[in-house]
Amino acid sequence: MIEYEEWQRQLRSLYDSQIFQNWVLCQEIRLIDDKNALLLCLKPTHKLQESAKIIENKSLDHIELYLTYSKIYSEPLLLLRIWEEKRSDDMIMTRLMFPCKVESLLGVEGKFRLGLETFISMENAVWYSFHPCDTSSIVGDQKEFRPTYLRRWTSIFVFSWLGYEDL
Amino acid sequence: MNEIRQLVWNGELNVLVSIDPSFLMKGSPKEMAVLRIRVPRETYLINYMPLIWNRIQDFLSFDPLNEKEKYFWFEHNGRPIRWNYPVGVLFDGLVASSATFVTSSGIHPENVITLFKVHLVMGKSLPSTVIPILSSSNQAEKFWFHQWKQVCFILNGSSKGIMSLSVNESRKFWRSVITRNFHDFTEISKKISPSRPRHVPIIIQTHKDLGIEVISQPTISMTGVNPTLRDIEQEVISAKEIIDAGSYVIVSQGIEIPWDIALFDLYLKFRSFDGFLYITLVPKISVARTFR
Repeated sequence: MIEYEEWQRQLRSLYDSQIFQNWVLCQEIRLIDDKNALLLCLKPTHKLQESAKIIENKSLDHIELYLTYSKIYSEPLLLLRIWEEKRSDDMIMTRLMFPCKVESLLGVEGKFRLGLETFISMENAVWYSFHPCDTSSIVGDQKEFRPTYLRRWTSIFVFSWLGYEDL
Repeated sequence: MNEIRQLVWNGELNVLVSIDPSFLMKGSPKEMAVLRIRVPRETYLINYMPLIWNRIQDFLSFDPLNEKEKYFWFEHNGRPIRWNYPVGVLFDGLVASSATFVTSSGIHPENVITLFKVHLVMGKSLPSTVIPILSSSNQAEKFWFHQWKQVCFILNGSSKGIMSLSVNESRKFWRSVITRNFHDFTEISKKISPSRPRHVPIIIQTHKDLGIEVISQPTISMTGVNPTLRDIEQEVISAKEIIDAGSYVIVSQGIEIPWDIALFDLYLKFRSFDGFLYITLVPKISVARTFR
């Protein structure tokens, strides 16, 4: 687990490290100061695009990740939304996509469990959340590793399934 | 206390589900688009989806279980409603804001059957605050179990209580909701509930004029104390919204609750089947019309 004040500090540090800004998938990044959260807009990987085609017969437009803090679990919380591309006539539109087997589509089956929820702190918007209840045993929160807790969490919860490649 | 829990568990509502004509083939009998069902307060609306699909399957204009272009959700008076709250909680919130439930002064309330009217609709895009109704058979169960994990963490500071349930116990727990088995539900939920909680899982909904809805989930510490609702009035009425507590009453499970009740006692008696205590702040004028 990570205390809220430490989360704030490590989130700022993660943002300043430019690791997301230098990520080849990252199209947009926004630090949301008043909520101590980070919003990322990503282009889908080739693998994700293939999965969406095979499983849902759909084309992905982009992926949104929202890194926030769960006061219930005292852990980082990863939220996700998938946007599909819709073409009709000459128009290209995007809309939210809710695949039944979202873990299969993302290729995280057996690694993470996801569920759809509404979030009171986000105007009750609907997002997929990566269930955070086992986070500390996955990430490891022994004293000597605590200063890098969020960096390690990011490596596991974000980069392990999306991959990381510099610009 | 068990007697009160049993009464809460047995609470039911008359629900009228109307199905949007767009689901049905042209020329389908109009009566197929309406279902009148008696629904426990302590369940999710989507637990009735198999019944609904079954009822209209011969008249459907498409296969909803394989539909990937359209989303389904429920509405009440044209406003989307969230299936992820217990049916009774939805009803309590809508009573506060809807004229539908107002009883005419010329009719004796005991002679009135109140109907909770919901409309099943579909569209190519989804209202932003609604979880879509998916075709997977275990959507409600997965959501509910996740709620209990949160509850377990809030009460105990860890998820061990729920994560240490055996697979059979977990199945039995959900089955108790579906089959309305109070004994099994109580037996398993007791394993998750401590005698001295760290915090109380509580969700508060406030409905105001023009259908504006505020939902909050305050953190109420129980370490060494058992506050009354009056003691935590500020948290209950929400720091974000300045409202006059005197003009609202507290309703939980459809029952008006006194401000001087101890929070943990209230929790143990009135918590919902997902482990949360739901409180609805109802303007006094609505209470005078409907709950009394």
